[in-house]
Amino acid sequence: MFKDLIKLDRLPTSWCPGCGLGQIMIQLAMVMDGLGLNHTNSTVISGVGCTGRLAGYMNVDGIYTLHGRTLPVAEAVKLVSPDLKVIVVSGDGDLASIGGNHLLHAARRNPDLTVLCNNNNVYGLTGGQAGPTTPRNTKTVSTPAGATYNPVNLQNLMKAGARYFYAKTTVYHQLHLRNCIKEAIAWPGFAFVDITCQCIENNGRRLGFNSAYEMLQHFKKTYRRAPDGAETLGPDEIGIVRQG
Amino acid sequence: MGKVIISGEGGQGVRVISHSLATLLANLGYEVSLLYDYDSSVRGAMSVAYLTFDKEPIANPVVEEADILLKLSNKAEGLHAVKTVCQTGLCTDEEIPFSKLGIEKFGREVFGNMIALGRLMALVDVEVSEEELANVLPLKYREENLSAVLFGHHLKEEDLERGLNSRKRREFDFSSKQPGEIELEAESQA
Amino acid sequence: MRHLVQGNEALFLGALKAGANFFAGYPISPSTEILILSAEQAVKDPNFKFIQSEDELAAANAIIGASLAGAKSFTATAGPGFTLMQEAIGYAHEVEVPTVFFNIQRVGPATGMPTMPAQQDIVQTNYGSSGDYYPLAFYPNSVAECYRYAITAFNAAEKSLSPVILLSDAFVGHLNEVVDLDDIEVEVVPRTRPPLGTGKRFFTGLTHDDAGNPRTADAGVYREWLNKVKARHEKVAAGYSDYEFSGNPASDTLLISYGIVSRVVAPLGSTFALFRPIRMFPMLGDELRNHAQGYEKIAVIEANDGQYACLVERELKRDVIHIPLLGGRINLELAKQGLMEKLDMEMH
Repeated sequence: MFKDLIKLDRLPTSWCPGCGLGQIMIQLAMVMDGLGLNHTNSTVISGVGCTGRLAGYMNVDGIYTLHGRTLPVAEAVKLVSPDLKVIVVSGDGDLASIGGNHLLHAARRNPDLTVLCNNNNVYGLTGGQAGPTTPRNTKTVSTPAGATYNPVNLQNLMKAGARYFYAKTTVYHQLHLRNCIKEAIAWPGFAFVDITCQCIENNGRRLGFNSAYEMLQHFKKTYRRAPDGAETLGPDEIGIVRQG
Repeated sequence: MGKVIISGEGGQGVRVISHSLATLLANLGYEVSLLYDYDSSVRGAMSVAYLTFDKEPIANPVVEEADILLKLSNKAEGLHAVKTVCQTGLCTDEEIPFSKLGIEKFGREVFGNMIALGRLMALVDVEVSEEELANVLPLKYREENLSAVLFGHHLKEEDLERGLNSRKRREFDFSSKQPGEIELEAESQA
Repeated sequence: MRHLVQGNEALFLGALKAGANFFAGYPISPSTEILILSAEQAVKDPNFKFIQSEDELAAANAIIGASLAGAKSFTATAGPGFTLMQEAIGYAHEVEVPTVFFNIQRVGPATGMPTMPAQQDIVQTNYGSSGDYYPLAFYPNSVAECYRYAITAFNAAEKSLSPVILLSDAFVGHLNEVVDLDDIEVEVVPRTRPPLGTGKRFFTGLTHDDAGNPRTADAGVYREWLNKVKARHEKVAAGYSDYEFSGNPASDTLLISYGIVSRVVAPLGSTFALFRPIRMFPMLGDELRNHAQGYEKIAVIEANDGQYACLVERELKRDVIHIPLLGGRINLELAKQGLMEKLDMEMH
């Protein structure tokens, strides 16, 4: 029962109504349940921010690290306990901004980690500042005239080495999301799942969406599946690319 | 010296209510201190504002025994006041169904915050012109917010005694400021 | 004109008044308002430069670079962000770079309680980086003081050629008070050192001589540098003997507090003599000694586990009673309880 993996007595979560994190947590729990992963053989490590709270809601040993430090911590955990399934859940700011240096090196060293990136294009918990994946020209509280930089290209960063696993999916595409998580866990190396997710309160409303539902419909309209066997995912394509 | 505590959870408008009232009082020439005390969460966790106003500069901005406590949720503990105004079910002093009124009079629960601000203004005895009031309210939905504040401000003692659930009479004319068609239920089942 | 201003906002406005034109920072509660105001300023004024850095390491180093390039630069942070910046603070001391760090303190350690006020970075402010160095630090307790002391921090930075720390806390930072900022006059010290691109200087984090040449095996050069910097900082500090004292002949206790705690215990002036440091570092040794003389007991009430109390004890070479207010709960009731317990007295 996937619900066994969730600390039901801690619900409701501290996440806003309409947040996509709840869905990510449920899909992760379903996958773990299906694979027989539980507190005896796995751990969830999450960073700081709204996403970081996820480990605390799951019925496995978990760590809420310092901001941006999930990867050094997770890599070390895996080195000491190779039989433990180590799953990292973190936000785009935590993984690609303050954690950017660590992301570069973790991908290079290729430890057997599964990384779920809650990619909502914003620093949600602190009120909606631009993040490393915020699209150019987006208005946020720290880019009132529109973001002036291009976002980090997570796919290219992951594909820099000889071995890689990069999945792109969205919270709207539930089954695809679940499948990406499953394949990432099965991958014997550094597996990165880039999950486009809605932050309605501190990003969506400012962008003009009235509800999380509208944001999900936007994901549905925007993203389409990459063709089978594609070696690179296009800008609005969901799918998995891997090598090694 | 007047001391007010506004207590709710993230998303209920504690900031907007307290900042609007504080600005009104400042504009009236008072010394004002407004202090926020809130938990680390965007929605749903404790959010408290301590508001003090006086003729003289205020030494201690942390309010302990308040004159009035506006309680929109149960997230904060240990707050004391001589008089408490609260969302229905949260106290035994003066209960007002802010959320329900927000929906029924103005179409959205969130306007209940403005009704609460209006009630607070009445209790604190703040008299300002509509224009002055409009100027401190958020730009978005300013007209609707203004109506809601005025509605809350004009709530009469007898309304509260009798209970606002029986809505057989309409005392307030908002025909020029209604945001849309709002049908009042003939009799609410609450 | 009198209007409602927030503490963090006042820090930002003070920085602007002092001529600040560069901000680099990272969002972190309870300092984020300063970052947002800086972002907005950059849109209004093309001469004001803004970077939202990828992390605090980058931000702290960015403001050093900006200062060397001629800008009056600053950052704003809290808790673990301040800790990340320590390396850069030490660097700024070594290279002698004027810049300002706003630290809006919260409960720690680590991620702690991101929105709750504390005064837990006192020791870190003075000793957080590696090496021997003599930081200047101020800690306002009102919105008006946030404005005044932000300007003061920039001035002190220019005079001392060092990174000045302006401390605040989650309550002072988010406190709104009615102020007329035009009434607060503080003369602004201009930048005198020429910016990069005008000379042949070498700004290095290695121990160096006056010409900037690295001297990594000469104890004499090091000692000369240390004495020079120490003397300069002491001289600058002497010009900022900022504190508040109210005596009380009826009391045998001098109660020391600062920041938000000093606001909360202000009503106790009838029960105790009160001392409030505004310049936190270098320690107000002479001033403390002078005022502590007439009192049998010295007590420090603060939102930490005795950080300033220990430093006062060392300074006065007397026992100091310590009253902690912990976990973000700071109010007069708790203060009285702590005082009654530690001072073994009755209070109403």
